Amino acid sequence: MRDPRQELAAVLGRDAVSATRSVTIDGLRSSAVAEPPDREALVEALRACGSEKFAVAPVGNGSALALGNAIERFDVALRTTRLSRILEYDPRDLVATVEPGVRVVDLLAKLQENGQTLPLDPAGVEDRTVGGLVATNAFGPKRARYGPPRDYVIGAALATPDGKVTRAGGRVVKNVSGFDIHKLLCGSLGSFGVLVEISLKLKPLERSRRTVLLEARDAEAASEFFVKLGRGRFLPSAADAWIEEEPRLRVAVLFEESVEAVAAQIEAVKALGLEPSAVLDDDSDVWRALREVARPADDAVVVRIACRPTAAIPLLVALRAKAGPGARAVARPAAGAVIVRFDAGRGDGARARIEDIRAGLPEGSFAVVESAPADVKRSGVETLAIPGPALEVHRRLKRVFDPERVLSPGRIGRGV
Amino acid sequence: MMNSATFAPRLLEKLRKLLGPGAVLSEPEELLTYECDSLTISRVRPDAVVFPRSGEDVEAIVKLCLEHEVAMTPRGAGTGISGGALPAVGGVLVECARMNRILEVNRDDRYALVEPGVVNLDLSKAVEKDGLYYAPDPSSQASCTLGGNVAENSGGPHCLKYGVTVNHVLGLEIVLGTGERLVVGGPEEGLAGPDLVGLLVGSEGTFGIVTKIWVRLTPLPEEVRTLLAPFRTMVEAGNAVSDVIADGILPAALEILDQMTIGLIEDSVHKAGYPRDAGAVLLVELDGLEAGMDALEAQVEEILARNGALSIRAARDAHERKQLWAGRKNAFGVAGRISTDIYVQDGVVPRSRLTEVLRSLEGLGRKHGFTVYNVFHAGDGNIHPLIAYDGRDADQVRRVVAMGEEILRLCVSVGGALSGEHGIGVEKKDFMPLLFTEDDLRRMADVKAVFNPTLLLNPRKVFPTHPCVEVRHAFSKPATEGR
Repeated sequence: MRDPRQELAAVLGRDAVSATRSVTIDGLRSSAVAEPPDREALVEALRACGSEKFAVAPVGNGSALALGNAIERFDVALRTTRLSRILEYDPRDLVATVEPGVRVVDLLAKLQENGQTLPLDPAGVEDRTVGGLVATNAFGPKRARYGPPRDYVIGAALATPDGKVTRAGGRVVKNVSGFDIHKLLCGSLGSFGVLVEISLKLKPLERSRRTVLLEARDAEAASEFFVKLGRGRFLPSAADAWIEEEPRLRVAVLFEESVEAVAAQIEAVKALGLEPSAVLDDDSDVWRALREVARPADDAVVVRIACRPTAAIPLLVALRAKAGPGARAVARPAAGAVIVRFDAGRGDGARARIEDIRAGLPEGSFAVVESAPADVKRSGVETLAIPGPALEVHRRLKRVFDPERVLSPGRIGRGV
Repeated sequence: MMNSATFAPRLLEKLRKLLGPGAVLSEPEELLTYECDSLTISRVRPDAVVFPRSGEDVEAIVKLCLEHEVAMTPRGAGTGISGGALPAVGGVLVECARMNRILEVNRDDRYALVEPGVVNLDLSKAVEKDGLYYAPDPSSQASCTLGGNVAENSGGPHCLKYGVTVNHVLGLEIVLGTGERLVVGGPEEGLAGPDLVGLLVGSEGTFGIVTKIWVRLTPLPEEVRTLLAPFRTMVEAGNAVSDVIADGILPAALEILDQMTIGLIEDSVHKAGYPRDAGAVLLVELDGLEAGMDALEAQVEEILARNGALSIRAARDAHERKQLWAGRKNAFGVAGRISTDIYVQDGVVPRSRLTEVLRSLEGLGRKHGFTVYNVFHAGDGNIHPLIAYDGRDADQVRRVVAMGEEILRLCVSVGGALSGEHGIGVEKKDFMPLLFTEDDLRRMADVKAVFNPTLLLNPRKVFPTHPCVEVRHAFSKPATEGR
């Protein structure tokens, strides 16, 4: 194989290929980090990787590289961070079209000037790029009301290793023209191509935002509370539960509506049987801490259990016990998720704990390992838990977009 | 297309054995109903119609058709208006209407598991007692099926706030064009990896036949307010819509009817009391919590008044709300009574370009000699210009088709799209090159081939018949004869 750094420097110029830095994914270090200055350069760099068969991983800010199965080969980190323009944004359309390297916080700041937002709040949102957010389909507490990134992606342009750029969807909120390949790309971890343009549906920013903190004497009380919260006249943007001192649970509920609607919901939620402990105007620390339970890291294992809303609280209790002392766990019932985080430690311990967690899940639930050290992944832990038949479909789709398997090989699963 | 005497007799025999004789039609007179969906301009008679009762039946049907190399096309209630359920090359029509059971309703986990033949509105009615409903509400919701909604990724007036079908589907069981039965998603959300549900919803029945659907159920809003405001001009109504959105308000629905349509409705039995001298009528529906709703309504009324609303009528109860909506809901039906045929386009434009596009539509009408009636989802830029014409007059047909094409070109030229909610089907497939390049279309065709490699499932849809460029395999395939 030729030297990736030299080959890419020949295509992009020396300035766009870092001579000193490298990116590590699952213990494999890249031979080259390419930072194309614009779309054309990115397309050429990807084409070069395709024709030289360099294994390439698209990388935004690199904040979620621990997600996915262990990458099989890794030569080139193709960074999208210099493609950082907001290409089109007319507030009247409630739509924005951006390049993948736009930082989520920068986009949010721009939207906020116009009273609009993108209601997505995954762990580490402060560091993420829009491209990374879409490629990981990452979500946080607000999924409970607003859904995953998939629901906001209305169009995309994708560069593939054959040097082509193809589009799907468009820039209008309602569109059934052609097949929704842009939705398929959500969660694809860069396995089918590199996003070079993303169109997003936006939301108006709510006028008021407050958080109520409550305490439940036990899991049963918390479960009842969440059922009532779902059944009653409430529109919470997020509602999380966690355990600090057993058997008690703490609950945080976020309301974002008009001033009157927030005030009325706060009063009503206090009457649902839990003990209110605080109402916060400035709630950013609470939600940051809750989001961060899921933040990927090299030395931590993060497991997300997908479950039905009513199964979340019992699972929280059961999993906290299984994950051991020092573990952190949060239940997000309306988003259908319980997240557990524990130190990876040494040896086989992490793998055994993941298997133990999986063994006790109710039927239909499944556990996605959102972060784990490379040795845990390479020890044979299947991280994404994609059912076999769906994985087979992904393998066939891979042949359409990337038949030589140069893009993020293996991260979605064997053969993808 | 062949008659029943020569059409794949061994296949028919196997289908009868599989499904029972009452579930297979093959006599020409029985097939007549199935030669088109609600795009009546395109007709092809199927060679047989089958009525599966389960996913197992569908799987067996698909495998038999593959074995005999016979084309198959799924159909729900046939309310689609892009020809998605047209058996374009004959073959077997898989009518899913008898798979109409609601298999499970889970109130506290807020989902339902349904078969594809369940009628959209029937699901909402069935879960109303639990304080829930199914949010996407296409105009045909009293008759269209959820399987068809999934195929077309259907919308409706209320998708402005609540999103379209894909935003409400948690999972699918689908028999692919390969004959494989695949389950993706389910009541547990958050499947990792590439989003297959997002790809499968809206694939227009060309990737597979949906056999089970897990849908999200939404709590009924505590409070609903419906306002109707006539304006002197369409521009004023359009500006009011822009200002509502600019003020950070996302109503449940924002619908506009133009003066021509108002006249039509007021002349009909569906008189809704819309003022005839108004240039446009704007219908605004707000929903959500009771707290704060008065203030929100006042804010919207202020915006309407500021933009020149001639009056504002507010519905105070469900009955009055129904009255205000009556004109909107009956508009297409009324138009159907003043002429032998109507043609409805379904383009989408960026909200910010709406008024200019409506003005251009008027010009196009004059150029082609038609009156254009505009009834549309103003909130999301989804226009539905309606043209009344006489289908017996070849010249009118030619002009209406030419005008339809110009409307789509107009939508694309301002950054819009070919279809907001009706689908491409056969109706718009030749316009796809307006929006997508050869490479884009080839990529889509290759993705389709993953699910439907023989192209026997729902052939000749979505992709242009005569692409301006050569595309190897997936755009169309000759009619299959059957063995």
